[in-house]
This record gives sequence, C-alpha cells and structure tokens, in this order.
Amino acid sequence: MSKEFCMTQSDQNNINIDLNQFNKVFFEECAEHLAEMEQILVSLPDAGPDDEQLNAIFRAAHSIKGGAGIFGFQDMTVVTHVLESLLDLMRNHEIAFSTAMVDLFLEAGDVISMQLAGHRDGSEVRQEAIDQIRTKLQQVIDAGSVANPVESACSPEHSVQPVFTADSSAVSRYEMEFTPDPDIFKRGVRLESLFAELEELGELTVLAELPVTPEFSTLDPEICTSCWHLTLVTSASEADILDIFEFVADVDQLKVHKVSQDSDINLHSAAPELPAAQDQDTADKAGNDVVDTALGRRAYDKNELAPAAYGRRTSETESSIRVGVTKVDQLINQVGELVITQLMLAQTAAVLDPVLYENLHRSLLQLERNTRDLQQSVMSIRLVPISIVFSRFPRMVRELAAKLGKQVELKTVGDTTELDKGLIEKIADPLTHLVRNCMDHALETPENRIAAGKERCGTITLRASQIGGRIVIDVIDDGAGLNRDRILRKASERGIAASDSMSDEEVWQLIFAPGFSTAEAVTDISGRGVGMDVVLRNVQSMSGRVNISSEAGKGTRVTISLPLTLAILDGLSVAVGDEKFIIPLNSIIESIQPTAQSLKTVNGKNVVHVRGEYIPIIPLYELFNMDAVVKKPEEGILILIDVEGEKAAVLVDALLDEHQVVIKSIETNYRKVDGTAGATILGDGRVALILDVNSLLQMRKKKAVCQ
Amino acid sequence: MKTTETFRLCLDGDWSMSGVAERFPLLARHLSLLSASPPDQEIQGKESNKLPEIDLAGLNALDACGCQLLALFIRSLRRYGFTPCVTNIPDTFRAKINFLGFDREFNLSH
Repeated sequence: MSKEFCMTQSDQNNINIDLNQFNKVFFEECAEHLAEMEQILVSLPDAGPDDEQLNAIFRAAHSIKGGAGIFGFQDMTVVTHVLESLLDLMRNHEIAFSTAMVDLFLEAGDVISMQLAGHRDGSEVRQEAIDQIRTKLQQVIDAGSVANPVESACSPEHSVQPVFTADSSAVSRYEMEFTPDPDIFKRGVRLESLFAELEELGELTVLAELPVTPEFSTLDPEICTSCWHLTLVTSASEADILDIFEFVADVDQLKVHKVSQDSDINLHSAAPELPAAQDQDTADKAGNDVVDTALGRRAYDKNELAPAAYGRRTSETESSIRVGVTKVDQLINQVGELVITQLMLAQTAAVLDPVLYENLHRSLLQLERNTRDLQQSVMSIRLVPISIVFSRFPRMVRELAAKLGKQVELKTVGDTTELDKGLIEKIADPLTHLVRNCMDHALETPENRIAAGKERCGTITLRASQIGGRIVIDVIDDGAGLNRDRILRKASERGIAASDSMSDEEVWQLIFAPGFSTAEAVTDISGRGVGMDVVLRNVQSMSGRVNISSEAGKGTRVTISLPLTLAILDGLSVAVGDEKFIIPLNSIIESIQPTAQSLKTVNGKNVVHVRGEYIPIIPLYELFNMDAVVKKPEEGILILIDVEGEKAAVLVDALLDEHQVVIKSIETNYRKVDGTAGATILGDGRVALILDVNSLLQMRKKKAVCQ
Repeated sequence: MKTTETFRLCLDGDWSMSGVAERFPLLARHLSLLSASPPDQEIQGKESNKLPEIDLAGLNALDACGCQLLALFIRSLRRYGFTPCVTNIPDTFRAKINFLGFDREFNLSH
C-alpha cells in the first residue's frame, strides 16, 4: 500500500535576509587584501619578490578567493583562482618571476577591485576585462609550466586538485571541530565553498553532526545547530587552514588538532577515522605530535613571526574592532553635548561663592578635566593614519613614470601621522593633483636632469607631520622649480593682474587662479589648468591653507596645513549687539582698538591703517543686518583676520572669551547661513554662530560690487 | 505477519537557505500527520511497519541549511519509530550531501 504526500512547488519568494552587514565585512577585508597586494607589488625590487613577499601576495589572493566563494560572489573567484594558481607555481619555483608580471598582477588586482566595486556599489563590471586578464594569466601559466600544467580556471568551484602536493613538504593530518555561529546560514555563508577551499589543500573528510534534535515543530530552520568534524591530510600549514576560516569562524568556533606529521602519509590512502573527538584519545596514546589550537579569524594572525606572515595585519589591527563611522560620530556628538553641559554647569557655578562652595568648585574642575580627556579620547577614534592616502601613490608614480619616460623615486615620511577620517577622504584628491603635477611638469626627463647636473632619478617626497594643532603635509620635488617669468607671462595673457615687482610668494600664488596653466601641452595627466585652483578650493573647504615655495633648478615644495579635526575648534567669542559670534582663532592675527587717525576712507570704503597696510573693515552688524551697540570703528574692536594672505578687519562690539567649541551643523538643523561655518552652544545655553572668515570676505566683496 | 506501508513524500523546489523557511511548515505538517499514527501498533492482530519514503527528485536547490533541515526531519521520524528512506536523489545533490558530511544522517551508502 502506498500513499503519496506531494509537496507542490509554489513560487519562491526569496526570504529577504539582510546580508549587507556581513557582506560589508568581506568587502572591507577584500579591499584590505587588494591594497596589501598592491603595496607589496609596487615595492618589489627588480630582482623580484622573495619567498615571504610571494607568500604574502599568494595569501592575499587566496583569502579574497576564499571569502568570495564563501559569500557567494562566485564571479570574483574566477580571476583570483588563476592568479592564485600562477602565484603558487611561482612559490614552488616552477615559474620564474619576470618584471612584466608585476603589471599583470596589478591589472588582475584592478579587475578584482572592479568586481568588488560592482558588488559593493553596483558599479559597472566589464566582463571583457575579466576575460582578458584571465586569459593573460592563464597564458603565463601555460607558457611557464608545460611540464606540469595547472588546471583550467574555467570552473574554480569544482576544482579540487590539491594545490599543495605531497612531495612539497611533510604531510600532516589535521582534525578540526567546526561549530559555526547559529546565524551562519542567515549570513549567506556557503559551507560548500568553505569545504571546497579546504579540499584544495589536501584530502578532506567531512562529517556533519547534529548534537541536539529539537522538537521539530519548534525549530527555526534557518538556525545552524550542526557542527562538523573535518579531517584534512595536507602538506599545507595550519595558518593556511586557518586562513580559510578567516571570514566565518571566531576563536571559539574552530578547534584544530594537528594529529600527526609524517612524510610517509600517503595523500591518497589516508583513511581518517571520524569523529575527531573520539579519535583524540587514541592519537594521544599513540604518542603522536598533538598540537591543540583554538584559533579563528581574530586570532590566526597572532604569530607574526611565522613563515609567510609578511604583510599580514599587525597585532594592533588584530586586536581592533570595526565600528561604523556613524556610531563614532554619534559618540562624538554626545560627548560634545556633555562638554556643553559641563560649560553650563561651570558658568552657573561661577557666580557661587568659592569658599562656601569649595567642594562644588573642586568637583566641577575635576569634571572639566575628565570631560576634556573624554573628548580627546573620543576624537582620537576618528583619527586615522595618513598612510591610507599615501599608499595610493607608489603605484600611481610607477605608472606615470613609465608613461612619461621619467625615473622617479617616491619617498613618504610621517606615514603614521594621524588625521581626522573626514579630512583623510578629502585630502586624497588635492594630493593626487599635486603629485601628478610633480610628475608631469616639475620633474625633468633623465636626459634633462643629467644635463642639469642632477641624478637621473627624480624624487617626490610626501611628508606629513603634526605641528601644534595642525597637520602639515608637504609635497616636495627636486625638479626644475616654478618658472617665475613664464607664470607672469601666462598671467598677463589670461588677464590676471600681475607685475614684475611682485614677490616670489605672490607670483607662486598666481598658479591658484582658475584655469591657470603654464603647461605647453595639455596631456591626459595634467596641463588643463584645472588642478591648482581645485587643490586650493578643496583645502580651504577643510579650513586648510596652501603655501608654495620654489627655487629655480632645485625644486618646489607645496605645503598644505590642515586642522587636526573638523569637529572642534578653538575660537574667540565676540559680541555684536545682543548676539555672540565665534571667530576661529587660526584666522586671527590680532585685535586692536583703532584710533580715529588710523581710520581712513579709500574709494568710499572704510579701512584701517595698520603698520603701513590699509585693511578693509567688515562691520559684522552690517553684514548680518543687526542692531549693534557700536557702529563706529573707533568705538569698538577691530579683529584683524588673514585668509590666504588677504586681510580684513572685523568690527565687533567687544571681545568676550576664548573657547574650544563643538561645531554643530547649522545647515542640518536650520538652513545655510552665509558667512558662517556652523554654530555652537555656549555655556549659557545660547547658540553662537561660528564665522567663516573666507565667506565673510566674499560677502564683503559682493556687497561692494552691488554698491 | 508483518506488513509494510510506504508513505512517499515528494519534495521539490528550493531547499537552500532562501527556501527552507517556506518549506519548513509543510514538513512539520507531514510529521504531525505521520506521528498521529505511529508504527508498530498491533492492527487486527497483525504487526505493521511504516516506511516513509522521502523522494528528492524534484529538488532544484540544496545547501547545508536544507541538508540540516532534512536531517532533523529524518531524525524526528526515527524518534517516532519510523524508518525513513531517502530516494531519487539527483546525482549533484547526492554528491553535495556527501560533501557536506550529511550522508550518515541521510543513511546514504557511498
């Protein structure tokens, strides 16, 4: 008798699982591996990589491939598989290194980056580029290893040929107990790919175990309750095995037992007994070399001295955690609120008798210290090393040098200098402009350099340092230097006010004029004159400054000075009528009480005469249409400000105090207010606008034109 | 005299992570139905045995998550005294079950 219960196939509604948070980790780590690979490749000597460097590149490619497979980005395994195969042949000295391979590997890295961006950002992925690089890599393999051809890359998922061969080194048997996260299925991790990765290392036996059998009606089918006993006979190292679990297993989820190390183990006849746990006693009794390891993605790199550890993450990174920028910003905002509250308390207590309320005052002082310390600690979370930006230049310089037929050495100094993450992102473009300019215009060809009595190879130095509360970045080249006459001529041609009597510093500033270029020819590298004004604008938008110094025949130094952070600011509070404003301290030269004699009128505009200079006066009450107590400059205070060499005198009623203020966006909370860079909350709870001195100058000029 | 009743359970569709939530209630319902009449009862003086046959011919996707669910289903059937048998496994899925180490749970011979 037979009864049939047939389940009909209904339309599948894919369960919407938010895999983004898990994918994000893979994307970030993949980008790190690519960056690491590129960093090693561009720093290779002509003689080629040593074993450690080769291992490090291999590991990067291997990790990307493993992660991609596990997270279901199969397309990304295609290029990495062939790349990995080629690198493995090189590691085994079956294919010799050639300098052309560096370009090939960099190109492969670019293609993988493109695929990564495709998954991460939805950007375009060019299949022809993927096919092209895969073919190129395969051709190198085919040409270099005729005697020992590598398996085709067409179906990496099904490739189970062990990469590590038995004769390469001693073979060991590893028994692993893998108890994944209960949410591993929800994370989209494909265990098939994970095990396939392991199988590539040797002979693998897998046994799934269900430690508990819950009441069926109550179980959650998406929760992983299984654990796996794995046995791997391989010549690969434990680190290679742990690498495979990098994305999927935490410290307590993977136990690896090295049961034996015996070069006599035959890869194809090994018959491991399962489960591993039951086998343990026997193995111990047999006196085998048992090494207990409980490692996972966060611990596997601890042995930095291990072979092939070159280029792996440092122990500092290993002990770090990834936190979203929004969470950090939220923390900074909350600490900012705390600082304001502390200021309010201090202001309230200021009127209380210091003797009667001695304890209160002492406690408030302690609170102030603690709050400042906390603020500094929190701010430091956003600080990241500038090496993040510097690391992009070795490859750029290498490629541009080849393109321009120049020999260039790039030096970086102060890579560990830390800068606010927001500034790091913004500084990359200006620095790129400057380095490209150095390459294209400043540095001479080897022939010209020799003719000028210099070394064939030019030098570009990127130097970062912290000076006071600012970060200073120098871009220095030892090229021909700026050509004063040519700049003046070009300026005249473009109708920019210039004269021979201008100082060198003033002449160098001309190159920041929009559209200014002295390049004889427009190239795809630079010369369109859209560089330096963009550099200046970008730097100024970060409250930064740019200075140039140059000497003919010796070279040029462009110095960018940036504030340490954009979240807090040292400012001077001033009063205009009933309102208070904050003027950034870094733009203030001095404040004066002008005498009637020092005040003049030039072309109908009020100016103040200070040490031989006539400086225009900006009455704040006029700009902001306010009632002011002081309308005559001689009755108020003039604050002299300097914006990139341009000076002005801001008229205010009174100077109040010097503060470190927490910058709040006024645009987010209200609307854009011309002449301001944000707002802050003062100790008395009132909102004070933070003045944008550059914008004030622009407003004054506009007003003058209108009048 | 011992008689054997065969219950064939034909499964199809997606038995991967993206499909198990949808499939699970049906499995639970069938288990509930089967458990209502457990095997090895004396029926009119005859000993009977029920042999649920789980037919996987219609599967179009299977992963570790699906394997685990089916393995738990098989275990639950055994707990109720049934002796389930997995049949018509497409070659690719048989290989996958073996590869993922669930062959013993499925009682598959290599």
